[in-house]
Amino acid sequence: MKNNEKVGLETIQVDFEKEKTACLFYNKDTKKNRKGKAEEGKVTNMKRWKKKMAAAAALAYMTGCLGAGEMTAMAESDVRNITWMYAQMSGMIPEDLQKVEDALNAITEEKIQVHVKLNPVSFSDYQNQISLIMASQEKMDIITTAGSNIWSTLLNQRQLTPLNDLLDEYGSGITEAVPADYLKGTTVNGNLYAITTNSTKSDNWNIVLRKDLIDQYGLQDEVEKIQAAASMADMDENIEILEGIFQVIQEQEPEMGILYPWGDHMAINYDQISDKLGVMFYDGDSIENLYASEEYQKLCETMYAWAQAGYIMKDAATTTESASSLMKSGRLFAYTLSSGRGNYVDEAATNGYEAYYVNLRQPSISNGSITLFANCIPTTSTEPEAAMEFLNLLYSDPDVVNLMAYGIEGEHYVETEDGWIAYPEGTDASNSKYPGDQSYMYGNTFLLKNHETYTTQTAEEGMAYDAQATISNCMGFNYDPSTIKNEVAACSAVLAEFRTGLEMGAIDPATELPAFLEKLEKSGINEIIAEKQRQLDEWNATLEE
Amino acid sequence: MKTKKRTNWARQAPLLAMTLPGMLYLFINNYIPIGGLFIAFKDIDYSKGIFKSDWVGLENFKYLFRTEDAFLITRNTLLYNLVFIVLGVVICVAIAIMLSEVTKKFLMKFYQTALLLPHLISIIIIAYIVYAFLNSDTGFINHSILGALGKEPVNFYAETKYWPFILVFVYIWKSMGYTSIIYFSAVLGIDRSLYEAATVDGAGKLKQIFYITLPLLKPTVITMVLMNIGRIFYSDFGLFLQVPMNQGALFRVTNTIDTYVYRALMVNNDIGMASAAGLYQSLVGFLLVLGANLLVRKTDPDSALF
Repeated sequence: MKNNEKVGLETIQVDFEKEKTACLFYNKDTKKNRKGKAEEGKVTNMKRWKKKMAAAAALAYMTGCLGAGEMTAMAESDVRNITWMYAQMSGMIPEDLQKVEDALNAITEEKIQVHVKLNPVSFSDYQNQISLIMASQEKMDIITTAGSNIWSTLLNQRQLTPLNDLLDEYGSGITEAVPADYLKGTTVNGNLYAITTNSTKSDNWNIVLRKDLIDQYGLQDEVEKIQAAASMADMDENIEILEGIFQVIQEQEPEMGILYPWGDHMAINYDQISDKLGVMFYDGDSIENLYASEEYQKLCETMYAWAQAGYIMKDAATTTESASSLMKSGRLFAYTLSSGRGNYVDEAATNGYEAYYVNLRQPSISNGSITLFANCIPTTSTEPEAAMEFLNLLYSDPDVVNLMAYGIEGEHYVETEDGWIAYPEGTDASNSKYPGDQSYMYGNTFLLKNHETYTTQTAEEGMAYDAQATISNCMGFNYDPSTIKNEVAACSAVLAEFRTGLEMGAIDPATELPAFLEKLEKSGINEIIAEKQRQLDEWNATLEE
Repeated sequence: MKTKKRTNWARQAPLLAMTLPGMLYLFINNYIPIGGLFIAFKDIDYSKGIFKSDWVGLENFKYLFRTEDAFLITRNTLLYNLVFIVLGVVICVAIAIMLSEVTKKFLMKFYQTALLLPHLISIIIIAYIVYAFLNSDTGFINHSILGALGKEPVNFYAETKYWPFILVFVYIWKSMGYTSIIYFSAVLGIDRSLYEAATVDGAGKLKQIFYITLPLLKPTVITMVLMNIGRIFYSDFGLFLQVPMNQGALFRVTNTIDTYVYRALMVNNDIGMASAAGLYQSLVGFLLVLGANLLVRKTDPDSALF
């Protein structure tokens, strides 16, 4: 008996150690361990065993190994629990999230025996939350990226599960819906690491102009003349037209802030290749330094000239308010905006004015457009199969997509006579308990119903628009910065120092641009470019094979 | 003998129990993480796990010295903290002594509250208060003062020369209420009979301050200074990041080790590199405390920390 007890204790201790390590690293094998433990339990002194288990459970609970979800999973063994984390772009978690989650689970539990826990996180905190969850190895089964930097961080930290086999087995709905070219954009060394949302992918650069003022001063014809240019280099005519408009507004409305430039590097047509350090221009095929290009110089000079002429809002560089809220407060006439076409009406809902949305640059599709919103299964997932089965629904089941995007029919939206949908009477974007303001994020957006407030183009129109877009010459190339981490960190700090000032015209490019370039060079941008180029050559070679 | 021990223990138990939350906090927050120091020497690969990741030696530390900014950020951190320590001691001790001379209870409470208030305000709100004063369009200084005087507005958020003063001012304004409380309580702890004796001997208020209060405050001041020296390689992150509104043009005078690390790692979230920065800061801070304490022990053994 004594001997037996000793053996039992040891095995449990070993097992407990295993669970601890598993918890720290993979959190995959807990179920197996649990089973193993139950068998060992039979041969041990029950009293001792219980004590040990209680301690183990308490510790596991403390370390977050067994969340509440898993406890219930043990009770209802046939339904698998997954957690889905995505960004709430507005920062306002919808009041009726729980209702929508319950409705979603009514579908998923019946169809695929999966219980989904929704975990939306405010966008401003999203990157931090992901880092924290990854660092603490908390269970997370699906992460939807919001911004290509989130994707590249997860990828480079090797926190993503390859999806190829899962997709083959459970993802027929996905392969049908998502173009194969887009899946290539998230494939690294043959491993598929994410599935991009199926939606309009083009990036472009726009200017938003207040319609009432344009109309008041008879500038409609000028606005009409603006043509989407290929890139910054061909932007001369547009710049001239805009200067004419700005001048009129400045004379007529001296109190008004004229332009708030936002995301203006997008005026240049290039693929940023994850960190904007070493990029590829659309008409080029090698890695170049964006900041040393003529186009970038032209952008900075234009912005500086505009700032000197008083066309750029004085506080543009310091304000933390978004352009749309500045316009809403009546202090701003225009702002530039890089976006996919689908975002237009979103802006109208937040900036409070009817406005002209004018395309300044022709659309393009880069790696960044593919990884902006993409669904990944991180290594901390305990149920990758269930996660993939759920993703498959998200790309193939209109009920699931519309529920996530717009909420519950009759409660958060109603169908109108022409087959579109709209907010029920008395509610709108500002007071709806599930406003449906980020319908572009949930899986296959081409399955969405047309919403009066949010749909500016139907699925067909969106696809047609994408068809005109230039596609990056290095679509599908993802680089691994692990050998040049120090240079990337140092250069990122330099970007933080100069970019806002230069791109908002606050500092003089004649002196500051050379200083910027020199500092980048000292911080190792050339090493980054060389390394990217080397990896690109390698990638090209594998394509030719 | 035995009974005496037991009563002592019984008397101390509540006191010990009171230290428990603090001790626990220290243990969880300051001691357990020491075990994670090895992360600074690893290339963390989540697919291999933290312990099985590759050792990379000092690779993670390199980015701290990779730019020409290495000198700049170290200089900013050290000089700002030196100014904070010196000015902090002088101003806070002065406030503490003045407070102790206020005899009307209501007034004293009022001063104390007014001084302490900024300490209780979040640094983000402080940043906006400063912004309300300094912004170039509607800011109080530019709009109401310089505008009324007919002078050209100053673009504070693009000119580096004002910021050392602004930051020092904001720091002192924010922290003086809290620090002066510590000195104030030390002043109150001084035996009143000393002052009575001095008055009898004909010493005025100034003489009492210089010959009684200040010498008796010395140990407190030394302890506080030593503690601050230990953190001289850390900067007040909120102050340096939020108050200058993250303006690139001001980095030359506002970038410190903490803000540099924050900006450098925002992109790649590398915990190995972040740990490297933390280890570097605490190691230098630790050595400085040892050195400063050694210096104090040589000159004034009674005031040394250890």
